[in-house]
Amino acid sequence: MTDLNDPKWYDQLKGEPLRERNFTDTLAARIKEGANLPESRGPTYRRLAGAVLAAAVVAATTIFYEGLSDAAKQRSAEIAGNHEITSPLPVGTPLIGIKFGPADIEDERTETEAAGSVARRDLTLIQPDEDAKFQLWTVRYEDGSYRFGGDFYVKKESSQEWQRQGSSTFTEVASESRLSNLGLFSHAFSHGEYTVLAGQLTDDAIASAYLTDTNDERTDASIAQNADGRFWVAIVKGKPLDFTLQMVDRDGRPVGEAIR
Amino acid sequence: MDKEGLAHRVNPDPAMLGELMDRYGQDVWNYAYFLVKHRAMADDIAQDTFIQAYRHFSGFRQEASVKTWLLRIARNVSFNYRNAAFFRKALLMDIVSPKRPGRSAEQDYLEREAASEIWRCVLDLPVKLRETLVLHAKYELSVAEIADLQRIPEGTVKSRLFAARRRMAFLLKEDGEDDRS
Repeated sequence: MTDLNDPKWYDQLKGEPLRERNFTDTLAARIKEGANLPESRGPTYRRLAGAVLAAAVVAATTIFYEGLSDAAKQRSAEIAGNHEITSPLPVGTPLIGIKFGPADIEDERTETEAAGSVARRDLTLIQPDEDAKFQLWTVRYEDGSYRFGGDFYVKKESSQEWQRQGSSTFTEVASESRLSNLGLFSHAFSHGEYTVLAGQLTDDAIASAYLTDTNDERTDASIAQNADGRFWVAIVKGKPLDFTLQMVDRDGRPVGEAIR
Repeated sequence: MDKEGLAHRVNPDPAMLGELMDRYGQDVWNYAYFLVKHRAMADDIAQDTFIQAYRHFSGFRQEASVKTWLLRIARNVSFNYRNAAFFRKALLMDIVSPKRPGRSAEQDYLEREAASEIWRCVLDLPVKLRETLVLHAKYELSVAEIADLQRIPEGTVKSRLFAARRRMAFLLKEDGEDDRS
């Protein structure tokens, strides 16, 4: 049944499939740098999987995620004392910093406040239920990098006052990757039972977006805008592993393919 | 660098990593791209592949070729990436195509940058057929080596090769007809 004689076009497949060479010197340098970092950092996907798992396990605990990135290649950038963005961390630096406990809340509060004094701009407030809300904000740096953050609040049972539980941020470093060059990024972070999915939109044709889970239940994303740009934000319950995202233009037509 | 060339390298060193990348970098990147058809993910997969190879050099079995060993690592890394929903979401970056709704940036790139019509057709094959075909045709692995790499029976490899060639014949004929029309 099987003809294993090589067809005449076989020889052409010995060459390169693409015109441009994609294993670049830059990539090689990135690999060399990453190879010299401690092994515990692990492959990118494990870092992400670990972060998602951690979010589920410590749902009742304040979690501070920093730099959770789908692209998995964005580097976190720290805010220095002068509140200017410093050089990106070395390649291979863990994308996610997970901290627990009250001391960490203080840590991130300091950082958030520091970020606020740079150019923090409120984006939108989303209240997924009566007892929880997210204040989402952005910081834009001179080099075009963004910091996207969310402060998570819950209502105190006794007084019904809002109490901040912590904040999460991710940083999209400008000109760092092909992904960011495409002008759209997506990230996620979790607080309690909620996961915030967000991304920047640079395509004006996109008017709305929604997520669909495996039961075909739809969660509309909010499109919010501030001086830092347009963003889509969706808050869902559970892990962000089972959702399809669809962008829609002003005429209600899907833009691109739905992505699972 | 052959397996003999690596044999004396008891411990990995940066020079070895450089040699590996010089020789196999593009091959590994291509293989990752064949599997995921996404440049940024291929970058990440190539990165993790070489870092794993560097760190776990002691796991290199001398009976395998260096190329096959690297392809095996790349395959495992690729599958982990593809199975991770977070990275499926990374593809979100591609859905914005302002001028041509319905086409992703990666599709546009492929259309523009594929080295030939043959490659365009190969990259249009389903992933199982595509992978098997390129391992045989481009990487020149034997059916037995492909079976070992993919952990499937040799008969299945042959079936996939047959199906891939049949599909290619159809696609190439179709393209030829398009060109004439």
